Amino acid sequence: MPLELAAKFEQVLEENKAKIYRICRIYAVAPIEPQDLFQEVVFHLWKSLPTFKGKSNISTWVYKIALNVCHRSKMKLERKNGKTVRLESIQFTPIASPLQEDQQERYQLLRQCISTLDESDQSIIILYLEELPYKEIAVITGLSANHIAVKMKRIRKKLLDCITPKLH
Amino acid sequence: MFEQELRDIWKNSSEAEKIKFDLSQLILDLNKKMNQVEKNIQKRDRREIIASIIGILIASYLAYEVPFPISKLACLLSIGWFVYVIYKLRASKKKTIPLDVTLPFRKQLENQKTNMQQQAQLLDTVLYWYVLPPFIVNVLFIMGWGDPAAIGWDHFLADIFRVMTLAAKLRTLAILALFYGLILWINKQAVKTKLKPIIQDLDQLIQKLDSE
Repeated sequence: MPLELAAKFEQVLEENKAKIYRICRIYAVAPIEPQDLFQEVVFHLWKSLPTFKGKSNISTWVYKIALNVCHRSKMKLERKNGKTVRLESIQFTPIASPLQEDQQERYQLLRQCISTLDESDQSIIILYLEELPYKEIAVITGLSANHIAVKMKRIRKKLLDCITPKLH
Repeated sequence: MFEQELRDIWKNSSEAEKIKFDLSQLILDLNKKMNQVEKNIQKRDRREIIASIIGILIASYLAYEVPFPISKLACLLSIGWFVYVIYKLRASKKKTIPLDVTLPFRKQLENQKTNMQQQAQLLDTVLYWYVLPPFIVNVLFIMGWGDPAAIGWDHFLADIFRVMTLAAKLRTLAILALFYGLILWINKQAVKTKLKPIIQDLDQLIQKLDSE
């Protein structure tokens, strides 16, 4: 891999690791850990980076890869090829603090409510919570922005109905 | 206001773990993983071809040595079948849409569904291209087998198969029928329990994405 590409890869990974991890946390179902999914996404990022033409925003491109890889894993579509190599060079260190525990609890409630949504709605609400505009969500999902706007009305209501009594 | 609170909870969820990586080591690891994936694919392809070549060589040798015309014909037919199996598997592989995770989510789901449907169709028709042809070849080979001593055929193959009575031939064919029946059942089960549920899930997901 040329140095330029390696530098680009590092930059993409550094800038997007948090959002990739958030998506992996939602899609990880035991026995698959978020860390495993994260590594799989990183692998596909690295594999696909040479073909990135820059036509779309890099973060849109990253979201597409994260969503597709995580969803494939959930559908158990991935074969065992290459799964044995663990990327030891990526380290995950837990952060624990009283504030974190409270955040964790609230996150678990949000996660529970997201899991009650249809799978297709889950993918859209995740991107919405990432604060992406409808236009970008449309590019990632392959639907139209108008379609996303209509769907979001319904999904947002469902999510709020579920989470409001739990949080307040 | 409340939505912003949800977004904050969401965004803070990545604060649970600190992610660190060493780029040079990571690139080495990724290269290693890439090589392993490629090697596994090459190994699988090689295994398929080697198995078929061994089958063709054995069938050719039997066709050359066996003096009984119907059994000889069965050997020649089995060579044709081995070639057909290689063609069928290669054609199916060519039809498979390569994995491209950079596509939009919906397009990716459509591609997955197409690939799964194609795989299901291949396994669902296993009776016609993987079970019946070799069974017919076996029937011809066994029923065509005569008495080596009667024609003075002195060969180690004659010692292995010897004279087979009709009852012995029927018994062997019954065992083979059970074996091929098992292959058919395994494939049908794979379609029913593994592939069809995935196709249904993908179908539902696409429909739900399209619906408002």
